[in-house]
Amino acid sequence: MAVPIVQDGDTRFAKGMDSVSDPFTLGPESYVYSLNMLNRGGAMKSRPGHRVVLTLPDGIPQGLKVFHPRKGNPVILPIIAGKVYATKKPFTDYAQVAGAELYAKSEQVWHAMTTQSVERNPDDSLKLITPRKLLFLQDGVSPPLYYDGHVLTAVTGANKTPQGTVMAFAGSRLWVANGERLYAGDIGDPTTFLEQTVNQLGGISYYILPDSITAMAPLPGAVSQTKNPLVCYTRTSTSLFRSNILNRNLWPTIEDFQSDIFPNIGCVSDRSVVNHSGMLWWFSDFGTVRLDSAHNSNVSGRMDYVDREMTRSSSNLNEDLSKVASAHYENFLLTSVPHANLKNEHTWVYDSNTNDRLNEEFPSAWASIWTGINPVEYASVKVNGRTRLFCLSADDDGKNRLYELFTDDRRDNGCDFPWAMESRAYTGGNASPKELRFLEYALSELAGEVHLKFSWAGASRGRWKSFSKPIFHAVEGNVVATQEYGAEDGAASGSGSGSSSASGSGNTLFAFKTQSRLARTQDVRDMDEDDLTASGVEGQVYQVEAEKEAIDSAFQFRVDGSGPCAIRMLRMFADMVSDPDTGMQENPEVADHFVRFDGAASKDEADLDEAPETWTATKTVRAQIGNYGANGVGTVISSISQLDADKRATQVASAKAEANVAAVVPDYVGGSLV
Amino acid sequence: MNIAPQVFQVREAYEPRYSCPTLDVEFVPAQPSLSWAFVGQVRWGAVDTATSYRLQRKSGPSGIWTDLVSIEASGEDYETVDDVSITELAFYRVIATNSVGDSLPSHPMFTAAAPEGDVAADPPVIIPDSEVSWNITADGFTARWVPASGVINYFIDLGPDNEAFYAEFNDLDIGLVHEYTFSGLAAPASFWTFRIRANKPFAPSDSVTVLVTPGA
Repeated sequence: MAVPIVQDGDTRFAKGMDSVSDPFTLGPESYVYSLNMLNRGGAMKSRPGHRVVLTLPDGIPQGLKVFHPRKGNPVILPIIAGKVYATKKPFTDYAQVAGAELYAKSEQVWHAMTTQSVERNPDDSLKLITPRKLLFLQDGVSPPLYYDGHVLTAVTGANKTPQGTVMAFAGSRLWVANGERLYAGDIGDPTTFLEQTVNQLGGISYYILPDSITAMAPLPGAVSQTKNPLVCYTRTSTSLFRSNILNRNLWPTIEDFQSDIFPNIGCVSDRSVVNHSGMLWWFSDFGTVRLDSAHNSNVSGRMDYVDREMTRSSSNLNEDLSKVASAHYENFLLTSVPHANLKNEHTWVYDSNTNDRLNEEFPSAWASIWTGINPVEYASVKVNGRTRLFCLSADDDGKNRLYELFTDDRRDNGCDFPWAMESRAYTGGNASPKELRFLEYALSELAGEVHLKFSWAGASRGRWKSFSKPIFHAVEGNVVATQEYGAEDGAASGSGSGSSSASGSGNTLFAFKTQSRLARTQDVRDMDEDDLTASGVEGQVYQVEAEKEAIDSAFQFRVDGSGPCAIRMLRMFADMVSDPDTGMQENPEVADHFVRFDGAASKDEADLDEAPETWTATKTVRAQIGNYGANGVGTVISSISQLDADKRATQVASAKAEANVAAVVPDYVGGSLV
Repeated sequence: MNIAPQVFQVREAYEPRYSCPTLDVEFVPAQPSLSWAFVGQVRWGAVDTATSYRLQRKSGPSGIWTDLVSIEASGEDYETVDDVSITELAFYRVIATNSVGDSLPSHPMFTAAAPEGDVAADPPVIIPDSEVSWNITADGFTARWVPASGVINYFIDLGPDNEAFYAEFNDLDIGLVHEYTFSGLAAPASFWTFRIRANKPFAPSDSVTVLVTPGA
């Protein structure tokens, strides 16, 4: 039998996600949507994992800060209900920081990492001191606090740091916002604000912006005229302050010391301001904006919103965007937004270089949307020379937790997570009608038990229809559980030859690699028409077998999966269909046509009451260590299959059981636990 | 808020909400404490994190524990079970349960009243002490007594001379055994005071006291 003649597909996905464009118009290497994936290197891979580091006290999660001491490892400071907690490497426990507290009901705590290098004597003379790091905190209500690595100290008194909200440390001064007012502190001493009383700005001691200040950040990069100014945002405007001019006496006379650069573009959340790949990124009322100071030497010109590709998520954001939180990690920019939720349920992932190759110009792209946690604020710290990304999450169960992102195992706490992608519409090179036959796909990086579901839909109509649910088993690790190994057994890496040990059992341990598969789906021609087919309801109405959804001008494919996996290639096969050589007479529609959000269609509304298919599993697993045992229970809803739900529920139950039993087993110091 | 109003949408996929699995440690419930509320009704205090309870019964000391009734946690301060039989000797205990597992069983409790016509146990009949039969040494001995019917366990005490009993041997429940070995004891001034009584539900025997002079 001849191979279907229409073929189309992608072997690389480097150009990223675009959910705003018509899937029909997307070019090669693009895709419409992806969930919990990355396209680094061109293949679509399930994302790195999330790991719970700490479960924190209940209360309003107000922020996550990092204190960078002059020496030693940084301290991560989650702030919950007015209390500041501290955790340090290896981040296995935490303790409340002694000293002052913040207001428990504030929605947010702002911070600025500062350096104090002078101290003011009682007679107002200055004393140079060994510089010390101070993390300033504000909640908008309480007096400001600073953390010096040991305790929290409230700053009160005349000519001290004013109470406020947003802060920044620029030009060796602490800048504090209170409403639309902006105060600049004394040089070298973030605890005093005396200079402003003797060196006023035309009669007042502060700057005024058009609206309440929402964020501040130094502009990265060297700009010839303004040199690392301080960018100051309100919700509707962006201003620059030339904070690099250290001599305060010059401020009133310098032209454009304060300048409004974008009168109509502001910033909604100070947590969204990120310095990434040499540019300043932030979230405005209308989406993500970035400022490349190197290209905008006069800091003016066209500003484009750069997140239109994320429309499927951004079209359903909560009105309150003041908690949007961003972070950068390596070449990734993460922006967590309140999608269909008060919490930041969706995290948009931008990859500024989808292929880390020096000799090839590769596009930056929106890679995916990540779910699973609800980030409140991110903190990036360098521990033992390695940068690690943490976030405080307001989880769906009401708990506050500290997570680490980008773990190596591509699982969330050891459990597979759901991921998905939707391809662009494959036309086969023309818009003529064609009949879909099947999809060929190439997978790689398979690890463990991977469940997949392939679905297809016409580019113009119809819901996703599953036409293959393969399961792949790619054994991980490097030992077989039933084989005995001795303490002397050595491990071998890569493909080199290992040497047997004389005193061990003679085994050399070779690592298993992740695996690949090349496979095809079922043939759509052999499958029944969808019960809720869109044919005859929407889409084409002229007579090229209009009652058959598998005939369309192009086709999209959706892959749902759980378990580590990468999609390297999708290739569609279809048959040509002869176009009729006549026009058609109009045929007025008399009955109502109903099409549900997922594309399911009918002329009878009652048909669409049936819920989209999902599978639920609850599993209980018992973990036993000697005489100690504990159960774990996992409940999972899968959109793939009952087998997938069972697998993931068992994984969750096992992980919980192991955590429960580990908590009751005493530390092993020799002897038997039995 | 729709910040990108120009949405091109052929269809939306239905995706179940996904939350990262969390590994908060959960513990089995604490050990409950069972008591009689009234004749025929047992009760115990509610235990935090318990989602259900299992009341168990066995018919005698060597019987097998079997579930009598299982109830969901009511949320009240106390849980009660009515119609608990008291017409024959039986033991009861309760186990609190949650998703992690079972608590330690409560201490067992006998039937609320002794079966009709029952009488107190006879005091144990001591096998005469001698250096031979009790193996008396300078730092210990093995007490022996004759098995008796109806007894479910024995309580013993041991102390130096006429002073207070040693804390570890004061009213010690040794179960249904018919000898008990003491070793590593400190030498008393003159003798050890050994006391034993047999126990039947609601009808313990009188105590029998033996003075044991340490061996050479």
